Amino acid sequence: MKKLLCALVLIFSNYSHSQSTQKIIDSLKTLLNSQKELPLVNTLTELAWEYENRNIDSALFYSKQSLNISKKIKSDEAFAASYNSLASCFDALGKLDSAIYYHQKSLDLKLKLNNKIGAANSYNNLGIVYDLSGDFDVSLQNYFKALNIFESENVPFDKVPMVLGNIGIVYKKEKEFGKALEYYNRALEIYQANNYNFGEVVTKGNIGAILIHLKQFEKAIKYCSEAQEAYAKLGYNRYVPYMLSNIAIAKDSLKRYNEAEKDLERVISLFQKEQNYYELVHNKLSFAHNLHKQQKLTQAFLNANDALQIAKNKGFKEWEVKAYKVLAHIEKSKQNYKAYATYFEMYAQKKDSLFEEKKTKTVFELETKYKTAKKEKEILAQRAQIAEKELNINRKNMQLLGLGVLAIVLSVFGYLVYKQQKLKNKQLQKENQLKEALSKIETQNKLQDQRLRISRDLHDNIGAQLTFIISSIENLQYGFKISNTNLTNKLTGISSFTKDTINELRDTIWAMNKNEISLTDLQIRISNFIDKAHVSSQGIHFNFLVAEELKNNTVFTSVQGMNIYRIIQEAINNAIKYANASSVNVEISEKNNKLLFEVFDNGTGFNLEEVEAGNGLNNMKKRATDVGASITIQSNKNSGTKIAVTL
Amino acid sequence: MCFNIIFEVIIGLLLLVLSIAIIITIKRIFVFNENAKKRNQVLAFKVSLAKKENAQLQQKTVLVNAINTTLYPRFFSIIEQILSLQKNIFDESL
Repeated sequence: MKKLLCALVLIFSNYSHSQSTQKIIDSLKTLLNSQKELPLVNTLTELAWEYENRNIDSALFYSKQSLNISKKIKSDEAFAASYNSLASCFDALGKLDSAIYYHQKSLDLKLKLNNKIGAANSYNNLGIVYDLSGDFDVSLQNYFKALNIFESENVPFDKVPMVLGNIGIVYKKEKEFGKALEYYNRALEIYQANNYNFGEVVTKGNIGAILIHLKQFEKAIKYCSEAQEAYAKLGYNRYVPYMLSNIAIAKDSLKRYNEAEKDLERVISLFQKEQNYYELVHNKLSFAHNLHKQQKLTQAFLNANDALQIAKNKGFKEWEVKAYKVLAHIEKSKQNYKAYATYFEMYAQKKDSLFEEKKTKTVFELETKYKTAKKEKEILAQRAQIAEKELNINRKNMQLLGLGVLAIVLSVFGYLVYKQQKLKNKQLQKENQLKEALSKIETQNKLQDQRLRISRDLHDNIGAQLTFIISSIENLQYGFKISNTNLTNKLTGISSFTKDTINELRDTIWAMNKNEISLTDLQIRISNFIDKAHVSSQGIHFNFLVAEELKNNTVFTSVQGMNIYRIIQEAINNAIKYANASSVNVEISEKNNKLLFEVFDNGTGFNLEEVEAGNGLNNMKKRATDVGASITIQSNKNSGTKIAVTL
Repeated sequence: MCFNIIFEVIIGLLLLVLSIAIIITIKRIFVFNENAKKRNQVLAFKVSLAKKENAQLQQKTVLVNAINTTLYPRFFSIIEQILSLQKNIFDESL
């Protein structure tokens, strides 16, 4: 009876969502297909939980599956849930050491994650397992830790009374009935405050059982009656006979034998109906005991004998021993001492046998425990070895990784050195090319410079000789009065030819002395030429115009400058010599981003188709072409001539 | 164990040294590139100046060639005319 009540409380403590288990299992299985990672682990642990009271193998399967997924996703939260689920399975299988091991691992992870409520649940679970293993002190320590956390955190209301109830169970086992009652009462207050009927009725049943131990039978009857009614009202009819049984015990103790007899009859019929033979035998013996007290010896004997037969059939050896004892007492009351002796002998024999069996069982259990501990020790040693090997492998991997990184860094370094060398070579090559080109150009320049210097010396020499010739001829002309006209003409011709030559030489020397010829230089030169022309041709009016915006920026190469000057010179000379013009205009301007040099006169002009181009016109065209300029000559009879050069 | 530690220390040191060497090399490459760029610019400038001078000298050479083609024949023509005049003077004086 007591064991069943404890079990009832334990079941109750994990009962919050067990109304329609199959429906829940089906919906959880449907969820499995659509989930991944942590939600999947949670669903698997839920499934394991649902299966725990139905099919422990399935529960263990789902727990292991959740652990496998946790290993894949490497989440501490998932590991904690999986370990908790595994521990519950081992708990249900009675493998308490494994249950403790996994609960502890789950607890450590929850503490690491600072999951206080989860840790409190683990403490509570550890408390249950230690309670089952008989280590009540450790069990209480864990329960109190769980209680502290639940009381300080915001948790569902049923958590605190659940732990209080568990503490009550441990105190009851330690026969500390006063303390057990205190904790049950605290739990009851919370359930009542929250109108949680199921919790209230279970706790009342527990209190009733405790009150029997405390010999407060009236109170016990009250609590058990309330619990009995509530169980019936809530539809938990299977628990009703337990309450009735407690009520009967209390009444029997109060010597209210008739009432107890009626209750026991009802209890027996209910257990019979439920085919709960263990409780049936127990209550039949209580009933026999009750009847014995009322001196209803025949009825007492029949019930005790009935209980004995059922106990024999079902193998309830404890009840078999007790049945012999009750039968012996009944026979003694009947003064049938032979039968009394026989039953008493059977009682003693069975008791010894039971004791032996219990002893053997204890020894066997101890041996199993020893073997389990030994195996667990071996497993731990193996785990340590595996961990060490894993550490070594990790170290080797790290070293390999280090070597790999070193190789990469070395390759990068090698590549950089190679690139540096390549850059140096490339730069050297480029520098050499540039230096070579420079030296080649400089050599050419030196050579050309030397040639030009020689030419310049030669020109200076020739210029000096020509000047001497002119001077000598002019001395001859003006120093001696030469009457010979032929001679005078010849002297004049030579002088004029020499002057033209020296002028041409001077023009070239002017151009050679400049690296670049600016428009201003050209303008001055043309202006000088026009002045001289004006002196020699008094009747002609000369105009020279340069557009203002051109003066500063425009520069020419010496060849360009020289050729343009020569074209203008030739055009003016032609106008003076052949056009019979009264006005000659020279204009320099800009047109369409090009320079335009124009020389035009108001002379007689000529027909371009009729006049064969002489050396002068051809020279002009050639010079223009040499400097990349275009030349146009416009002329008609009696309408002047216009020569335009565009550069 | 001892070997492992020595091995790991050596790897670590080598990595450190190589990392420093890489940084120094990258810096050197950078500095070298900068200097090379400057040197190339200076040389290119010199070459462009020399080319410009060369172009000017070529222009002058063109001018010299042009004047030479007219100057020398004219000079010799003047000499010839003077000699001819001299001959006439002698002939007439005789």
